[in-house]
Amino acid sequence: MILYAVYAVALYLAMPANPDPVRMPGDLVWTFRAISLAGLVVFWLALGTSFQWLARARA
Amino acid sequence: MLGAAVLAGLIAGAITSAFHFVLAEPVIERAIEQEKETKMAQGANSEAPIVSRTVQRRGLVIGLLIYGACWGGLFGVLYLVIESRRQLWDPRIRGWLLAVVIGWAVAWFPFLKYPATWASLCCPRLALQSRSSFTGEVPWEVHAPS
Repeated sequence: MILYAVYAVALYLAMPANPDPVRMPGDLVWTFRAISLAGLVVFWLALGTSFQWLARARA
Repeated sequence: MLGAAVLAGLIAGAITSAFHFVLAEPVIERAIEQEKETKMAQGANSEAPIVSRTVQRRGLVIGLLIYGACWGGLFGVLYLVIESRRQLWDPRIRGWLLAVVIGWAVAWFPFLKYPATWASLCCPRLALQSRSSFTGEVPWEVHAPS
C-alpha cells in the first residue's frame, strides 16, 4: 500500500501540468469540477453496487 | 456473469445521467450565460452552437449508457480473472472493491491531475467536446487539446 502511494505521488508529480487556460470565474469552474468528480464517483460506485446485487441475485 | 456486468454498467450509466441532468445541467447553463455576457461586453456576437443543447442532452444519456456498457464488459472480464483466484478478495465485497480500484485507476486519480475543463472556454474549435470533457465522461487522454 505504501509502495503504491509512493508510486501514485511520483506519477502525479511526473505528469505534465494541465495546459488548458480557463477564462471563467473560479467558483463556476470549481463547481463544474466538483460535480464532474462526484459524477465519476457515482458511476463507479453504482456499477460496483449494482453488479454485486445482480451477481448475488443470480447465484 | 458478463451479462450481469454489462447490465450493471448500463444501470450505472443511467444513474450517472440522472445525476448530471439534475446537478451539472444548471451549471452548464450558467456557464453559457456567462460566456454570452462576456462576449456581448466585448462587442462580439455570440455564435450559434454547433450542436444544439437538446442534442447535447441526448448525447449525455446515450454516451453514458454506451460508456457504462463498455466499462461493464471490461469490469466483468476483470471480475472473472479475480474470481479465478478465489482467495484474493472477500466474495461479499469483491464486485464493489473491484469497482473502487478500477474507478480510482481510470477515472478518479487521472481527474485529480487533469480536472474537467470545459473545452469550448479555452478552444472554441473543441466546442463539440465540451459536453463530454466537462462531465469527465471521456478518459482524459482522449480530450486533451493539442
